[in-house]
Amino acid sequence: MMSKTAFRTLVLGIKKRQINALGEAISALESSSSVKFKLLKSFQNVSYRGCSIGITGSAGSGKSTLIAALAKVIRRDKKTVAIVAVDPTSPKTGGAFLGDRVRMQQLVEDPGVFIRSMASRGARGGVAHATKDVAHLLLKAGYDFVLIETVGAGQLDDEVTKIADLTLLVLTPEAGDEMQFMKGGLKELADAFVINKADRPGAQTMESFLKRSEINAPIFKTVAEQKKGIDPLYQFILRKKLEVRNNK
Amino acid sequence: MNTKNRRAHSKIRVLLAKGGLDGHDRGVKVIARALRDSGMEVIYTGLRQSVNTIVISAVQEDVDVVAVSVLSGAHMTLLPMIWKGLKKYGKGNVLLTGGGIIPLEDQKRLSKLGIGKMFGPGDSTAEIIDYILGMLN
Amino acid sequence: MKKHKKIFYIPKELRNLNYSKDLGNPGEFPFTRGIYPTMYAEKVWTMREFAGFGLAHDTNKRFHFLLKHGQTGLSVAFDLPTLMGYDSDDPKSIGEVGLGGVAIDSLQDMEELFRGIPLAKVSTSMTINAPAAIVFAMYLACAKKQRAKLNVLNGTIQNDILKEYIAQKEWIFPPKPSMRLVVDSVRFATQHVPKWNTISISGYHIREAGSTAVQELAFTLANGFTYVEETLKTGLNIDRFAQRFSFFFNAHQNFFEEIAKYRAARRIWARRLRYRYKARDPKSWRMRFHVQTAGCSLMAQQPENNITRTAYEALSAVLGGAQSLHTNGYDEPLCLPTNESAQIALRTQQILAHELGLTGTADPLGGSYYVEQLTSKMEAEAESYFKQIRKIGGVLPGIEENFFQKEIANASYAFQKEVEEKKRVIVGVNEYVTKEEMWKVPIFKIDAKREREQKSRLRRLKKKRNQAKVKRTLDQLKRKAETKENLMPFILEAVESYATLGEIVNSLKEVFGEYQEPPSAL
Repeated sequence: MMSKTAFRTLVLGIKKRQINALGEAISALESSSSVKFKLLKSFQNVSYRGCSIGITGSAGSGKSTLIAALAKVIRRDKKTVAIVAVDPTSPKTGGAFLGDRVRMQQLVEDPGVFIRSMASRGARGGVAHATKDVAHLLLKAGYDFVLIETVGAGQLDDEVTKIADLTLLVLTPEAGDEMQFMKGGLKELADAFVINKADRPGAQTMESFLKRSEINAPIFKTVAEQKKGIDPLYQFILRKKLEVRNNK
Repeated sequence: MNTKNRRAHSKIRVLLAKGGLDGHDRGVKVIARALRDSGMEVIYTGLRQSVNTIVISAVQEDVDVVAVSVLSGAHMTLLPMIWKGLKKYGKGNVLLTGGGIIPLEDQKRLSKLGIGKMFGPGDSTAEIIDYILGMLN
Repeated sequence: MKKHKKIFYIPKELRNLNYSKDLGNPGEFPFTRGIYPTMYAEKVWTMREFAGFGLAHDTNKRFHFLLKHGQTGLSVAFDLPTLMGYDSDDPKSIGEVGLGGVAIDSLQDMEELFRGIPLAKVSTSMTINAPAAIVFAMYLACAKKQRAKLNVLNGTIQNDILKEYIAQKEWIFPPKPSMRLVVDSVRFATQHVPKWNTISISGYHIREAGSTAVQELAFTLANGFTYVEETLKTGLNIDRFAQRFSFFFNAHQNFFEEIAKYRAARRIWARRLRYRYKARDPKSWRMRFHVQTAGCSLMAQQPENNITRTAYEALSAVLGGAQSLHTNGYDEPLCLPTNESAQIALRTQQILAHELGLTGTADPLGGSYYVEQLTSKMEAEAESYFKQIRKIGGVLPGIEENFFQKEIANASYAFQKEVEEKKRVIVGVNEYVTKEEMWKVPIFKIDAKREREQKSRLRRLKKKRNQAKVKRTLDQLKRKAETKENLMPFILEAVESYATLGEIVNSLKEVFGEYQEPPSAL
């Protein structure tokens, strides 16, 4: 049970983007406590100008590295960014290993960056049940961008497209699993395709393959580890962000 | 140390941090697996975390437990600084535990500061899990 | 422990072995039985106890002590900031200066480290990897100051960056520029320091990280092949550099498996060097190796038991034909070795050498049905790993895919499970436990004021030296790093201008970037 004063402090802290307030608020949203409902109610009518971006793709595609590189570019542009990284809960044990922070830790001390790991806790589709609420709260707290990194990506892991304003699908030049995306909903739902590790052989082939698959979304080539190719992607995101805001 | 008014979570969240400059993550990886298999959510920071990054990560992740592995011998410098940082953010009810080569006298000094038990080579993962569950319930 | 299906072995195990093709006499290809015909009968293995702690003058004192007590080679351990390329005054170094090794920030420290020790007359092994090229340059600069000629210098630099990505995880730059530095140092030494052992290709750390014996064997050799191939790419003739590659293995507790491992390693390496890499000089086919007894086998509980463990492990290294040996202090799990435990460790080797009648016969276990079977089995299992690695595309792609790291993590977890389920007994830990107060061993502690002392040394150095010259050499180094030129001469110049380790590393970081730890998955 949280006292009225404590709750008010929490809300104020969220609006100031204080990390302990945000940390606790996200935990509340993940739970089924009364604080969760009070929070949702308090922020119900709060508007926001930021934009959420879902970043999905199979394990090994370099999503975390790409997110870290993108966050750096966002910060260079003097904008704030919150990152929510979702990893799967083990169906057998109920526990989870959340290791995405490892690639992002150089950002941790930057007050304009917030990073939170979430376990899927049984939800299907690549995100947790609470991810939507968490993303919205972070946007309402005033973050310019909320990046949502999701679990792997088979045909069914397209939940993030329902939550996020934009979805990026990250692929590697080696074909294979990528074929699955072409059959699933992600092909239509992705706002952009990012061929990461594009310095590997096959990048050109993958690009041609995507173009032949009649997708309308733009294709970007990046080498996130070397911070290459991130700026054009960011420019695209900025343009889409304007569209999204104008449509609201 | 007062961990008993932790709000009831459905899941125990543990920040598993590697402090110090060494790259020994054998123990940390084994513990991560064991904690996960016991139903906890384990957030791993990666190697060579500074005091500041460990503290900020713990606060952002709103964890119940911060488990720090320091194998370089720098534990007496790092752990009290981490504890101080956590308390500064109002996280004095987080369980700060960890592992390394911690002589008994150092163990005693850390306990006096309010820091939890430190585990050493030869302690089983079962003991560590029992300790965490015991302290949080 | 693997449950052997067989309890004893019979002559037919040897049926498929051809003596001259698969074993050979000691000193004969494929060197399964040892790389020299006389082995220890002529010259006992080098007793090389690792030392290093505090500041340069502390370690210098320990060096003199060990040399006086019969040690025949020097082995330097560096502190973590040095290993990671940070100066002692870097904020990342707080609490770590002089712990676990000696702090070396500049040539000035190196000179202090070897004060009164003629580098032309001793053999020095330096255990350093990511900034190895720089520390090597400091050693050479130090020798030059002593007026020693580079071409008489004898020693080793570990310089094995591949195992860092896989196991020890003390890295600075990404793999490609790191390999370039390794190859640059190999080529420089081949030309100017021909007696120097340029890479100590290490399995020790891979094993300490939790791998099995076969993984230690296979991953180490795979790394070795990679170094050979990368150096060959620069046009250097194999017979000019291969002889200066040496190896560094662990001596763990499964006694006969360890002996078989060493024998299999020699055989595999000899065959590859001769038939795949077409080395012509028999010296190029010979695998020389150093062994350290397994640190991870030593326990904090009832630490005196570690003396026994170390003795048995050392025995397996000797029966396996090692060229040099480090035995751990019994207090290894607790702290840095005291003078007392360092002495016991050295005496352990001396007893092995003089009192057990071991040195008169080379490869005494050769022909054993069991040991020969085990040797061939390990060789076959290693070959199967080589196939897997080839499929991935080699060691560097394997590192990127986390292949080695996953194998090691799985082996490590399985081991821990065996211990917790008591399927594997560790005396004094999960059996034969005594309820005594732990940590009764006198613990050797480093005085925290060392850090302050080193920082003021650094401050004084920076005031004394020619700052303009330092800047010039660092700028030059950065420019050259963008080209394909051998960086060693330019690193040497920077070192001789008394640029610090951190300053040189940071200059290179600007060009090469920094390695990011890959995201983990369990």
